[in-house]
Amino acid sequence: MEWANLPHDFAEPLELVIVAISITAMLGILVLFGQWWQK
Amino acid sequence: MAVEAPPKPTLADKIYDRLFHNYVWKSIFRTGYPNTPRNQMLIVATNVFLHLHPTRIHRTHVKITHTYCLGGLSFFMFLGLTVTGILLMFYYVPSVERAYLDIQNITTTVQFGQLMRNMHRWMAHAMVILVFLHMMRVFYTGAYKPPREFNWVVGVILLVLTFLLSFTGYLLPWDQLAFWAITVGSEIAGSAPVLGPKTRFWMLGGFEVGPNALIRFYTLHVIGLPLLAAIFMAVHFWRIRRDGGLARPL
Amino acid sequence: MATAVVARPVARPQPRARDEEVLVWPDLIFIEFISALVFTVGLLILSTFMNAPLLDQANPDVTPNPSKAPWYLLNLQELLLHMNAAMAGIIVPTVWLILLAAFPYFDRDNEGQGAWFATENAWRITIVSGIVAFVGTWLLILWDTGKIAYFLNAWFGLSGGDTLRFLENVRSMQSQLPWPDWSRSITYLPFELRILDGTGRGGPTSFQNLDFPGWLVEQAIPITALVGLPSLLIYTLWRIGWVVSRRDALLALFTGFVVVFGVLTLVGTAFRGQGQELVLPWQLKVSEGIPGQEAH
Repeated sequence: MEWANLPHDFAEPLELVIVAISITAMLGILVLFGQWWQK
Repeated sequence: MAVEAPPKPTLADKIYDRLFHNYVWKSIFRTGYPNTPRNQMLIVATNVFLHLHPTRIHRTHVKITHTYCLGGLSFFMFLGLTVTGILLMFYYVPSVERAYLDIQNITTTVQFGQLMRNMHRWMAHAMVILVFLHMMRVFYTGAYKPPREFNWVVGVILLVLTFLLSFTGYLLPWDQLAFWAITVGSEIAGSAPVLGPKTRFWMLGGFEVGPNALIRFYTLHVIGLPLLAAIFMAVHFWRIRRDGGLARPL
Repeated sequence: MATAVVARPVARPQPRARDEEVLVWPDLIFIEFISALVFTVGLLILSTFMNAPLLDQANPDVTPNPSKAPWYLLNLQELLLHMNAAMAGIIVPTVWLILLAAFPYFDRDNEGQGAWFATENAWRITIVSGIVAFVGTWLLILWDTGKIAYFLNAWFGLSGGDTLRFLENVRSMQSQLPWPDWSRSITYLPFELRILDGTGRGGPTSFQNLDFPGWLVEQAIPITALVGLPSLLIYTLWRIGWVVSRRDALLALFTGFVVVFGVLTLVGTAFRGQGQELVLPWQLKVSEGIPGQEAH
């Protein structure tokens, strides 16, 4: 299950962008959980 | 009206009693299960890991949209990096002959090595981002006002330590990305007006990025900077309790 | 006599409001647990699908082009392309850090505490400063790489010719204006002052002659931009009545700082290609630097 090992022209900026998107997504999941659990 | 007799203990109750009310268990967990307010306060106050928290907290501070748990998550990333870092340390030797081969070994032969390395790298990026977001949260909620001014300064110190931890760790794979990134970084440091070249020499243990730099960065990365960071984190967390918890709305 | 000095209300520690409190167990502990869980699972999934990079073994003789610092230092590397190395690498970040650490001693009022955007104009100030910082930084970068002159020419056919060539980018103010020869070496000390023979590279730092056009381009203009533009922003916001307190001014400055940091990192990551030339992200190609394989 790997698709990394892109030509590293793209890999470095992409790595950062994907990590940033993941963090935003995870924080978003937390916020949604908070809205559901903490009425 | 007469009080009803309590229901007779079922088999499940008896097993529970045997398991969790015996002498050995109660010597480890000395408060009861925290399903009463008394036990809930006791367990937070008497447990070494939990007594970082107060027993009660203002209701706005548990809302996720107030803090987004950013400070706690930064600390959690630090812990995760320590765990994955230790696991990686079993297989890594900081010498220019072995470093790259060790990383290749970790990512191919070692069981879960690739996963641990990936976790370590992404958690490192995540920690820098989360620390930065935490700083933004503290600023926008005005939680640096007196009496919390110095805690903000400690936080900035922790930010610099986080950057330094990331920087020292960046060199360790000893591949082209690492080598040249650190070369560029140390050139930036070396361009300081008066003490620049000396600082760069001290940082690298030489004029170029080489074996001395590797061992220096390794030592800083695995013990020097984490110890400093732990000390400043202790001050940072203690100060939050000392200042009466998180900043409250007026 | 005490009325001669107006005491500004300083924030004081607040008394606990016990009826506003909830128990940490379970309310806070549970939230912390869930957030730790979400992040652990999320990062595990990410680690399964995306591998940490590992390029060829380190080789001091082979330089990839462009060589970039780790991403959190890319903002400094981007600054390096626009001003003197000592300024961009040391002076600016040090001043940034000192200001960042010291500003709570400057803003000590009670207001704006404990909630997001708690002052009256906070939202507006934040958004406007953010937009101004974003657009302004991009414009400055585009100007200094000569792209504005290029676009004006390519899209509108405007060209200043030789008379306006000195406006093409910041460096051309040094090279395209007819500076008299004496201005390139103004002696301001009657002796040569050498500070700490620089070991290794660059030679000793010596102070005697000032290269005025060089100083103008590498230090005066950047300092003016870095100090003057935020001041202008705050002054404008004050004149239109949005900024009324120190907190508001700090809001504008902090938001601007964060956005500038973000833009510089973004440009350094995705928009700088070979020779640190400004390119579009999909045109960004890295040359490994292996002799004989330069043409990528």
